[in-house]
Amino acid sequence: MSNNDTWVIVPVYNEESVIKSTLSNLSVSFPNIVCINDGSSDSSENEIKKTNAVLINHIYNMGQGASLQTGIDYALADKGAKYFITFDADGQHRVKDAIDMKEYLKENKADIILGSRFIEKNTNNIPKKKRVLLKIATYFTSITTGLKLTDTHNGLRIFNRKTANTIVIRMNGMSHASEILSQIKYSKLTYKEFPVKIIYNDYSKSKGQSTLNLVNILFDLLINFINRSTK
Amino acid sequence: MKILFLLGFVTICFLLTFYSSDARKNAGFKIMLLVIASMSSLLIISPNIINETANFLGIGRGADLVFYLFMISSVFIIARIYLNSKRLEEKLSKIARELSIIKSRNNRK
Repeated sequence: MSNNDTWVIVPVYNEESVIKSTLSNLSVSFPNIVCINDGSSDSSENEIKKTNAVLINHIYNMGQGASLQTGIDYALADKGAKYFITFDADGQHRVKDAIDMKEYLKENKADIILGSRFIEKNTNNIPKKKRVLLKIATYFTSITTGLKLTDTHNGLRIFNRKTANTIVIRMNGMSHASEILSQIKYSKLTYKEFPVKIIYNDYSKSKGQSTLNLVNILFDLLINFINRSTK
Repeated sequence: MKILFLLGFVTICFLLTFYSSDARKNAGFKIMLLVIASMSSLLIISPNIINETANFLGIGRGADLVFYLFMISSVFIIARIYLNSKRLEEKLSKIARELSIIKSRNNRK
């Protein structure tokens, strides 16, 4: 199956040890990859240059939300781009899931498919603390957005061009995940979830978000809500 | 009377900070600063006026009145400053992202 109509957006921050293998695995199935180096202080940039991925360097570290928006803006300039996949750089996601999600999007004619690690019952590989935090985040997001989802902070997503043109990520940090969901709700985009497997190894666990960051995310969401309400 | 007055003041601050046009928000911000500065100055120059006002409102001492208004105003002023900084960050990020894309395209030529 040709994926010339698809762009994969990979935000990168200090992933020198894994980014080359992540991009190599992706490039087997997806020829169009844009990598946004978000002010990495290691040699991620050099590793990306060894691959065929398009490299965009942020002039300072802005956050994953900003990186994704940069990637979307870049990919939208390709008039032939119909589908856009967001994919983590740390090797947590499987390329097979991205391929299956694209098929699912086309079959269901949805605007966006969101990966979920909680649809299938086998969640034993998810670290317990992370599982609890994700459940809290999911519960909070379902209250604020009204969307019934099982996993609200999964970086693996695929969406169509209409969604790429509709969604504007303003929250630079990790709160962007909830912001995307808010925009899905307010823009009335059709969405579905798809079961994906997240690969947890020592490296990916060390890259996970800290507990305190949940406080930052919740506060940012409140500020975003106030900003949106009072514009 | 005290509670009503303070609730009324909180409501006005809230509306001036969050629910008005940008011009009104900026003016509201300045009004709050002016109110605090004026009342603080009056407290020093003519404490009787502030004391009488505080007594009328059931608050007690003039210094208490000035302190309550200062505390309430400060919260909203800080909130306004924080919101302004977030909006500025948004604009800055947009410029930085576009610049990054332009540089990338130039490097590929």
